[in-house]
Amino acid sequence: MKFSIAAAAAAILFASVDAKTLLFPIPQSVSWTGSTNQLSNDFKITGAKNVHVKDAAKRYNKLIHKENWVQVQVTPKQTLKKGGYLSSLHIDVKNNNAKLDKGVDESYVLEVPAKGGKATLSAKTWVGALRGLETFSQLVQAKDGKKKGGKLVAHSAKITDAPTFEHRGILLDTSRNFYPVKDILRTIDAQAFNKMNVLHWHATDSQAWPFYFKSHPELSEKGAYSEEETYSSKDIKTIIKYGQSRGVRIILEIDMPAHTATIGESHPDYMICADKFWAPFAAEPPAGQLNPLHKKANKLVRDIVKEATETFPDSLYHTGGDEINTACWELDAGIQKYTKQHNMTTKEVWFEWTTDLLKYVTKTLKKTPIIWEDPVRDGGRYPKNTVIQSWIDPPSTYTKMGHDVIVSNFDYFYLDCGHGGWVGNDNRYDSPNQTESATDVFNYGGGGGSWCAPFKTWQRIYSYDYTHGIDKSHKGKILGGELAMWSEQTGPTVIDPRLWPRSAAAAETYWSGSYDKKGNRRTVKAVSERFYDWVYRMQARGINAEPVQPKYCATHPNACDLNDPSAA
Amino acid sequence: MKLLSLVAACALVSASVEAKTFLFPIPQEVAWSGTTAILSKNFSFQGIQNKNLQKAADRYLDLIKKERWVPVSVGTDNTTTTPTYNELQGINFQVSDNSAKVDLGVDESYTLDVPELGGFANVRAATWIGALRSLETFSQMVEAGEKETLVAHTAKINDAPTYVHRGILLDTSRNYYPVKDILRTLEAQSYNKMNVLHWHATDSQSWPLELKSLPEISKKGAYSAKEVYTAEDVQTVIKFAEERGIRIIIEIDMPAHTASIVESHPDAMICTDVFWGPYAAEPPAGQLNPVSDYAHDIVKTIAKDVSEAFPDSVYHTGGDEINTKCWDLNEDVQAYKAKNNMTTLEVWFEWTTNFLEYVKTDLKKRPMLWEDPIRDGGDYEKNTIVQTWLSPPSTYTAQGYDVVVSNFDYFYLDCGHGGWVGLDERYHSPTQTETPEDVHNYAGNAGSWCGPFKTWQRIYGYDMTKGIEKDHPGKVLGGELAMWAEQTGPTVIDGRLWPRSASAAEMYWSGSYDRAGERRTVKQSSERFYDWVYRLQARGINAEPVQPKYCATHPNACDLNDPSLEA
Repeated sequence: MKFSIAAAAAAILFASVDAKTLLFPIPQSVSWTGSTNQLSNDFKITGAKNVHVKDAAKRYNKLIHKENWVQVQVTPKQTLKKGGYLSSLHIDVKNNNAKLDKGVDESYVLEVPAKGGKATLSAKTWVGALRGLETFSQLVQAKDGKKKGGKLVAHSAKITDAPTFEHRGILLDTSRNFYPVKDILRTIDAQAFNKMNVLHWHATDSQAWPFYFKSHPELSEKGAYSEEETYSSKDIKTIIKYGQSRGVRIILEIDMPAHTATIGESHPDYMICADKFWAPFAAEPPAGQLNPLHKKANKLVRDIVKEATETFPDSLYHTGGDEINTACWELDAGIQKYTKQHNMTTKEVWFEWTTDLLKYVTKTLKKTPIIWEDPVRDGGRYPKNTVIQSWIDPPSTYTKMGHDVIVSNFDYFYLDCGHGGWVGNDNRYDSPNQTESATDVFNYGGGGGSWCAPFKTWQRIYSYDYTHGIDKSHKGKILGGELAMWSEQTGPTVIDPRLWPRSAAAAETYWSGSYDKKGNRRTVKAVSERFYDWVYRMQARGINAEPVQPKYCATHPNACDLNDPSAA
Repeated sequence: MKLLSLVAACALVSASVEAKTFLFPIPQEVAWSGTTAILSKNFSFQGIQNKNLQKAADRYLDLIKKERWVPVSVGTDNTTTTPTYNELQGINFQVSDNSAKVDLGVDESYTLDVPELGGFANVRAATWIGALRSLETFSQMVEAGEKETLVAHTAKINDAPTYVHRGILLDTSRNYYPVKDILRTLEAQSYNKMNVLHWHATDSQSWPLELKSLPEISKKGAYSAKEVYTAEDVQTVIKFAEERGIRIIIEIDMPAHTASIVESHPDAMICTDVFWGPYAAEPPAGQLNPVSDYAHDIVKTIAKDVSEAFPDSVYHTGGDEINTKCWDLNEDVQAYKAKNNMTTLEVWFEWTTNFLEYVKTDLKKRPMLWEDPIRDGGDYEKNTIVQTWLSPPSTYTAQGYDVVVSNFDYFYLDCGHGGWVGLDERYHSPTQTETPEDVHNYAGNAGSWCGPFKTWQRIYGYDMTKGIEKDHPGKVLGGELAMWAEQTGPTVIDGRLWPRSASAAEMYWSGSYDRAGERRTVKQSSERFYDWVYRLQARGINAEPVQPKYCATHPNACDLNDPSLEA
């Protein structure tokens, strides 16, 4: 008798499968039951064994009560069945000791039963449990869409989920401008909300060296903008630990042998062209590259890389390697002599230097190196276990060669683009007539000084297809992608809106993939209502995401479309 | 003997006239004496007879103690400053008019003398508002000294604004800004000697302004009960602004940009039920009915209510982006046109004439108007202030109108962040690589109708005098940056407004030319501007960085061209 009632109820429930909350990024498979459960007053999250899952359980239980979410985006009216009271969410993890690292299993199954009682979250690893907790938080909303009263409901569903790409990251450049630790931690939180798992820390560059090395404290002592603008050993540990607790790997990059002019503050003799005006000798000011033939410079490089790989637990280490300027190196008599003696080009000196460094990283330090595509693009060839980060060429170029690839193509993923230029005394902004002219392609409809304009919108980012051009015969594969937050024109005052919500658009393509399980392409059209609500929800969670539309558009679905939806 | 040593000191001092702090916007005349004086622990103010000036004095004293400014920019001026250790006891104010109204054309000039020998600095100002400006300047002359001390660089400053109207337009309809964000914006404006907040309060997307006479409009047209400016909020904003010498000019944009009125008064509206594409510049569509007495009453009631609530003598009537197709959908408009043998544009011109007359005669306010109806052929009373966004301002000064300049290709701060309309497939690039035919995604505007992003350099490059002839009966009153809010909100407002508005503020206050007639350039303002970005940040304004900090500390190292090769 009881059983048949349950069966009948289940049948009714499945009739209204559309009942839903707006999940972001969308899980691979969601079966809505069409009912909601009210969370019991003493709702608990149980079963956590791993310390990070225990912390996350506490954190998310607090978050769902604090955010007491009321959807901003208006969606078609749903008929919801009243389920029962949800007393708990029970977490069951097979492997509580998995290392947070490349390829760790992040899959989970989350079931919130139609008639209430106990929800379950099963995951192969504790990292998957973190992802499931995030999804659970997104199933929870204020009861009856009213904040008053503080009662919460969880929409009931069975969710089976796993990431499409194992590498889902943001590159943060802390050299051009400095970010206090708290801003980095908030960014990690926002990444976790979006199921991202990598913070690529581009820690140093030619403008400042904020990163403290025990083996070479002089680098930051002399190369940081100031003592306050330095990441101490303690800061670095704090960041790694915070990332760990949210399932976010911190991959360090100490970019070399270009992008190193700041080393000149402490070791001027290791550098070439650091005394020159930047333009002919560097991609941007200031100029200065490590001398690839200088023994002490190479010893310094090894000391740094050794300490960095020991400090950071991840099995991947980013060796940098972008934007070498051969004209810089050619100023040096030693280089000239060396190339002549060995009948080499300057590029070949670079390739050789790179080969040696990669070998040191793999053989001696036992790490997998990531390298910017530049030396490969320019003709260098490296062991295929080197992961390539692409920013210019299509990633298929490198999968074909047998390399695994992280995609950061500038014309989709460079978040700094479109805010004009930052070099000084630039007269190109002057328009003598102050009106549009056909010859002024700089100020009118042009890039306005930004080399990689226009601004990369969330729609543009979302439209990137990672599978484009990747053939089954390719020996390498796409590991995932990274948005790049170069900091020439950003800093703590604007980091949130520059990263969010655009990084969320990428996060869905990283996690959910550009295609759903049926092979249908995910489109801006299909994602919009979830995305729009997610912008407001991130703001409510304390992330200063940039608005992407007037709120009117969220509350009037399709009224702000480009084309009349009724004419379609 | 004393006199003699004073003269000698002056001679020495004049030799190092370049010793300076980074002032922004740059005063019209600055004569640095090349020394610093120490601020007395009992630094005080004398001669204050206006309560807003007293409040400002207290505020600035707190500010200079709190910021203890250490410049970030390394200047190219190598002349040394001599510390005198003379004590500066305070500032003595001599203000002629302590009851001047913060309004169009009020005198904001001042002289500020910070004497080398210490004692009291002297401010002379025609009005208390000028005295406010001098306090801002004084705060910028103060830096952290040895130990706990503060030092003031000594100088004689003679300053006055080039333009009377120096503003920011803030759109609070597309997205809502809590009052605290508006107040912080006013504070930032006062740091930049700006004196107008043009409050574009309402639009088609939402109506956040509560009206005593028609409370149902915000009750139904606001995004939510929380996203409303109550009468009390409005008073808070006006008072906060007045204390800082800033006028609030309210705009209730009409007769287009009014679709949110449909929520409470559907009978006053036309075309609110059609898809926006053909009928409005942006979603949603909906314009006030120009031939309905019922709609006219609403318009007059609103304008009366609002113009009474805001003390400024200027009232902005809106008037941009009329879509004639929208009105043509309506039978009454069609009948009116046929009967009077008028075009739809002429119906609009007539509506505007009547409305301007009402504002002028009944409400006793000077009307301000977007250029659109004049650009399209309408002709109005010349006391109407025209706000340009499309045509060069000289178009209207030649006709006899006074002009506020907001040309979109310089001053629209929303441009360059792509598009915001939904289901737009143009971002999709099938090959994911640059192609000549894809002018949307590659070096194009990526959906922003007014891309690219207006940089501070671009803004600074605007010449406010361009094309304005001496024989033009109208003049340029000043300018406004426009912060349209489709893609902004409280989370990003500071970074979008600042430091770009500061760049305009210098042009508005100091002018595009100095007193010697030399054009002000990005090159000359850079080191002052760069430092000002950091100082605004330190004052709690989340200004957007414009360069790596490296560039501020290595003058000219980040220039586009090698400075050593320049003539």
